[in-house]
Amino acid sequence: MARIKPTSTVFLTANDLLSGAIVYWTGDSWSTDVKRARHVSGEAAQAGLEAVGKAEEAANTVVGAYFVALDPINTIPLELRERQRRAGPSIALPAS
Amino acid sequence: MYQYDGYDQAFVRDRAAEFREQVGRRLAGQLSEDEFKPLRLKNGLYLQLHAYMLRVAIPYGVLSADQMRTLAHLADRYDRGYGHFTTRQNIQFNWTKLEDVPDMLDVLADAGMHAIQTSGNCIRNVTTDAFAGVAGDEEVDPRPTAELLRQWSSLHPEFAYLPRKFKIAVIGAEDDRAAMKFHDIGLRARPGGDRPRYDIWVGGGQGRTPRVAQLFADDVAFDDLLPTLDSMLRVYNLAGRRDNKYKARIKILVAEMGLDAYREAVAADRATRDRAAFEAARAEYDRIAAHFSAAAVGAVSPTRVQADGAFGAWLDRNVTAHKVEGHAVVSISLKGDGEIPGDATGAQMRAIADLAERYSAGELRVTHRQNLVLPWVPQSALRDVYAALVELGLATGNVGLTSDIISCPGLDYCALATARSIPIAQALSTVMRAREERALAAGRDPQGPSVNISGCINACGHHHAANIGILGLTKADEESYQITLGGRADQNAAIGEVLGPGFKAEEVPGVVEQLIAVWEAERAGGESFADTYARLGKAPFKTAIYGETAHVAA
Amino acid sequence: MWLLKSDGSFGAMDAPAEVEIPGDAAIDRVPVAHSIAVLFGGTADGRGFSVARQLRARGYGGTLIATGPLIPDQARHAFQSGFDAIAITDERLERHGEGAWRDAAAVAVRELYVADTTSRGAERGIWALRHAS
Repeated sequence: MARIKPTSTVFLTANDLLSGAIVYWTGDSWSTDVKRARHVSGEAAQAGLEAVGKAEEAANTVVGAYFVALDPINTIPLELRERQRRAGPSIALPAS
Repeated sequence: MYQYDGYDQAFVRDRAAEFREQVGRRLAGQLSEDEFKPLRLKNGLYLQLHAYMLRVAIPYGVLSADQMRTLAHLADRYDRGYGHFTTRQNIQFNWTKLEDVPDMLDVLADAGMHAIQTSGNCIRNVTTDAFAGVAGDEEVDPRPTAELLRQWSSLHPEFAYLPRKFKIAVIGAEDDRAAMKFHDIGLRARPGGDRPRYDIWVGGGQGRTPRVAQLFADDVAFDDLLPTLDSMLRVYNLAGRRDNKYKARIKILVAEMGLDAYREAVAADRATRDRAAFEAARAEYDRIAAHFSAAAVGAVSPTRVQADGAFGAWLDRNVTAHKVEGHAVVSISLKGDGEIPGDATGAQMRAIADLAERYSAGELRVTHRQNLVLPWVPQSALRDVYAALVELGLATGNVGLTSDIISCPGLDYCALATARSIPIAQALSTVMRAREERALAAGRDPQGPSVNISGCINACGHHHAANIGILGLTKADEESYQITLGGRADQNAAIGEVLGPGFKAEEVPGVVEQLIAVWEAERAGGESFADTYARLGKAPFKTAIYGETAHVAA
Repeated sequence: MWLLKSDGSFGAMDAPAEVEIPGDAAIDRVPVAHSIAVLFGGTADGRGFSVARQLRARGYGGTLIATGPLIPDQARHAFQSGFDAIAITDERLERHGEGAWRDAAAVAVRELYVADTTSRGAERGIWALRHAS
């Protein structure tokens, strides 16, 4: 899990092993609702979250846990990829 | 077309059962994600940006009407009602669940299909000319060779953990409709008596380091083909770089070793081989080839079909000369105005399967340009087929035109992407289709440059091989699109050159229109965009886009 | 250390191979030894399979043992590439499960289209079966 600047605000995300769904760590469990993602900042809090990610991967509940850095003002992910991931496909899906 | 026998059927069933067991051990924690990932990839299962994606093989792009219905069933039952046909003649389901995949594989196995080696560092689905066996200009049908290679490479014990993925394409005509020279190994089959002879090309590919393949050996006898390929792979497996994934393809090995040294290493390995393993290859080739006999669909009396208007334009663009008298090859464009290149809904797949059954001997093809083909349409049925496609909204007559855009899924789906591709393709398709309609209305040739779009440097959208290539990148956390010019995927394969600094998404259609305007002003007679570019080079295009005083870095 | 053999037998590994060679490059000579261990560099590193086939192609008739971080799913690859056995550490036996190792060859796809003459696997080769006469 790549560490992010300790001064950043981050959340922890992963994919559910069984369904593949994007999930966010709420502080005590995983949720598919990004609004329930727990935002943390500071080195100690990040280290704690990193340990959660590793333990959850080892428990075979999720895969690929990592931090997403957030804009401190509007708490939107800073990276383009993460904004897309959070928002879902930007196009009208064919069968809908 | 090829029909599975009991051995093939047992083979795909066994692989599905094996995968179910592997998933079970993963969920029980007996396999770590690092151990499981190569296993699931070798069975076509990716974890994409939003969900698991299953890539199903359509070997060399050939499928039956019933197999298409199976794909429709998977789309409706296990996905969100659609699938995406890829540039490697496969189909992807974007919204699958790991827990459902073993069931999906069972459904596929029942239909004589599988997801074997559609991903991972192994020999991938062998691709070929989508018009194989029916093209008027064909010298040798490449499909028996492609099926022989499917069997040889499937679950090959030695080559399942290569340095990187390995793509093979086979063609049997002078016109290259499979981008053969952009493959790790490309085969050009030529008539050779009972069985073909082959020119073997090596080291082509796109991605970060695009390369056109070099000729490894010409006029290789059928009996030498498999021992040679096996040794080519062995040398690559042993000597290919494993320290850097961007330098791990065979093109880098050949460049670093030199073609002659690579040839020598292959020859040395081949000399030690006991060829007994390949003793049955001749009989097997002949058995396979009998499945592809054109005699099953005999000649019918030719019908002259001519028309004006939309039907006439569709005949010009989407209908191609056939090998067998009285027939035509019909391409179904999946590139309608504003549509997502290569996407088809379950309902569309079913309707197309019905058309194949009624008008095309129950057979379909998938092209590397992400369209579908009805390969066996009697000329007398062309008007009915067109009318049926109009009803389905699948009658866009733009195959081979600019609006027939290749596009990867990009950042709307892909975990590796650096920018979105589909919205660019959709916007461009509308602008380009309007240009084509104007040309047709004015009685002008609607022809234009090919446009391909990739959402990252891995180039699944073949941007390097397009007359106008578009590459989506992330620059300062925003999407930026770089343009390349002069690429081509045909027998004169060439890699596009970067025009200059990138553009915002909304600027791309205008830039492409400007580039076309330069070509239209500069072209000599009926010259193609690629030929004009080859003659004039980058300068006039660059000036038009960046201005006379541009001092920007190239 | 445990040993899974190509005949399906499983048990403690009595003695190490006479020589161990890295499975990371083409061989330039065939070692003179009754048994050779080929060390794989990693789970994703398939060079050892080619090393085994090269040794067999050059006439090595002794015992070949695959060693290193392999998983049960690679057992068939090893046997079909000419290995007689796979050496398994206690840690890997524990984590993958003894059952998974014992059953490794049985749960894998058994038949291949092309069976190499030097294979130690159970496959007979679909091409050979189809055209046996």
